[in-house]
Amino acid sequence: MLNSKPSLLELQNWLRWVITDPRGTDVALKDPQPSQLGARYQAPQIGLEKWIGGDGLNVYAEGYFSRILDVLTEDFASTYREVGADTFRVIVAEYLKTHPSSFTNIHEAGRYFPEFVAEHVDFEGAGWLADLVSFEWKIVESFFAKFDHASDQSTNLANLAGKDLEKVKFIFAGSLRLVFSSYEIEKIWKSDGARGADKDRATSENLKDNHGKKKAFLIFRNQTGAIEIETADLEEARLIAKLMRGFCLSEAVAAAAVTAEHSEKSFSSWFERWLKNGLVVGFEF
Amino acid sequence: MVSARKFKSETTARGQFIDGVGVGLRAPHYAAVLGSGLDSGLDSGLEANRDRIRPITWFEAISENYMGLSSSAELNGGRPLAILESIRRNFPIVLHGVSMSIGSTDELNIPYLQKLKLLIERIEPAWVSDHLCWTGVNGENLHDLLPLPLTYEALNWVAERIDRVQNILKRQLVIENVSSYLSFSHSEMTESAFLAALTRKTDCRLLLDINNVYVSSTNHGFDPRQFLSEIPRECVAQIHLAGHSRLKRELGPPLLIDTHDGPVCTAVWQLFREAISRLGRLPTLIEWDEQIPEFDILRAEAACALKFMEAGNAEFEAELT
Repeated sequence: MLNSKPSLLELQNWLRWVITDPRGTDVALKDPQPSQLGARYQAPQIGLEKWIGGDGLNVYAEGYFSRILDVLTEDFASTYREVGADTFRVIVAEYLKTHPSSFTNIHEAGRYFPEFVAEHVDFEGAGWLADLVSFEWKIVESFFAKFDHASDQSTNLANLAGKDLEKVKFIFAGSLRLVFSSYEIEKIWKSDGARGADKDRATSENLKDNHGKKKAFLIFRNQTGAIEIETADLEEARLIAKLMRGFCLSEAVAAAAVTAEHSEKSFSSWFERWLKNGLVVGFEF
Repeated sequence: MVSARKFKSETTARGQFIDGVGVGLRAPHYAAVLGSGLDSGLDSGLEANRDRIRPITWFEAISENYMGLSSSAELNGGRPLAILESIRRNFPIVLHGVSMSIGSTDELNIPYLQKLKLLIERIEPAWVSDHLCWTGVNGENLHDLLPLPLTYEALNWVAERIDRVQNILKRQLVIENVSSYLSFSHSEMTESAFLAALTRKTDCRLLLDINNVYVSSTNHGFDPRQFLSEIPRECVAQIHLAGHSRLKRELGPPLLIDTHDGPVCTAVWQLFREAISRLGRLPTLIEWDEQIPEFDILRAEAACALKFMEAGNAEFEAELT
């Protein structure tokens, strides 16, 4: 029991403990060292509440949880819709026990949410859900990534003709993210009412079947800044992935195992798409 | 301790003159502010909108919304930053942070401050503000504006950190009083005395949130007018106004919560007028963060603020003569 007045450090550690206790402040104060919760949820001091006036602890505790829940609900709207409000709330409470936010931007609080959902015992076998939650996080990343104003790189590409094209490195837009999935993940995502479909309509279950063949998606912001999602050939996406890692074109083609069946026509249509959508913002030699 | 006084001239040398009423810049209003510019290269139509948005003349942007994710040390603020830059080309901007956690016992978050500095260089705001609070400890962020005990220990701790931040950012900080829902029995001074002492120790300026004064005075039973009388008038850079809500309790009067989800209430308007009559005309900002209304509703609130500001300022000038 602390009888002398608490230091600022002691006070802040105690408030953090009581505000973030998932059982609520009343239970936390009655049972400050719960055996069922880990060290993170053991009160750092006993009886410090005697230095606190007013009964606003609950306001901070409820604000802590609801603020993060609201942001995760917004950022993972399709996941929320698919698992339902009650389950989502429980999952977020469990998530915060192991992944309390350490970020200054509250939208980053969901950084580890995809891994957490993918490994959650309740969702074992729901590969589509793991892919969906990851897909939604990539959209958040894309939204907050560097915004490259549109610039036509066609001329720059044409100027490369006389040079050793195979040694060229491509610089892609900061917002570009790649997602690979064996599920109809973008269709599940698009089935959200907010994106034009009937909000109350349950997502068709066959979209959640593993169709055995991976698909690739490009997530990026278009020239007005809005998020765009396009499907891509698997080989095209693998090539982009290698190029994004800094491989030159010939190395990337080899490393991505782009097969001979992809003729020059495929390459030129891919390049055309990358330039048209502003996915390529520059070249390096 | 190095005083930030030397940065004062730089703070005001950015070619921005902020006066009258501004509003907090929120994503649902980007289209109203930018007009057709939102979907056509982000820049067209801004000049035309200057008249259309009156009496609003400036904006306050939440710094963290334009700083991107922590995984990059670069200022990758995404589309929001591109929009903010477009708005800045045509309107004065101030930056208002919620995550500096100036009162935390954790180390200062240097990567955050470095990124904030990049944002400041990019946007050239008239000034930069954050809150007298802590938002986390032990590396965790609770994403709330938690109050500090009003002790000499806290005062000295916060003063030292403000001084360090001002030296990193190379400019004065503007510090806002927060609403609070609990108090500390070992506090050694009033909140207004704490704020006044902080300005003396660090040369920081104050963002006086009138709604927060009203909310805290009601929750903790102090006189808001006494609070205003103890604030050094030369230190106030800006005023905030906002709505609050009432949380009913089983025992006692309702607790007021700083929710920013509605219009400014009559009592806060009255307190604002009294603040202006004591402090003189000051840049004043309307905050509205939840249940965000149509932009025209904000314009109406801004017009109301201007009316109270002019009435209060007339009293202030009459007092001077």
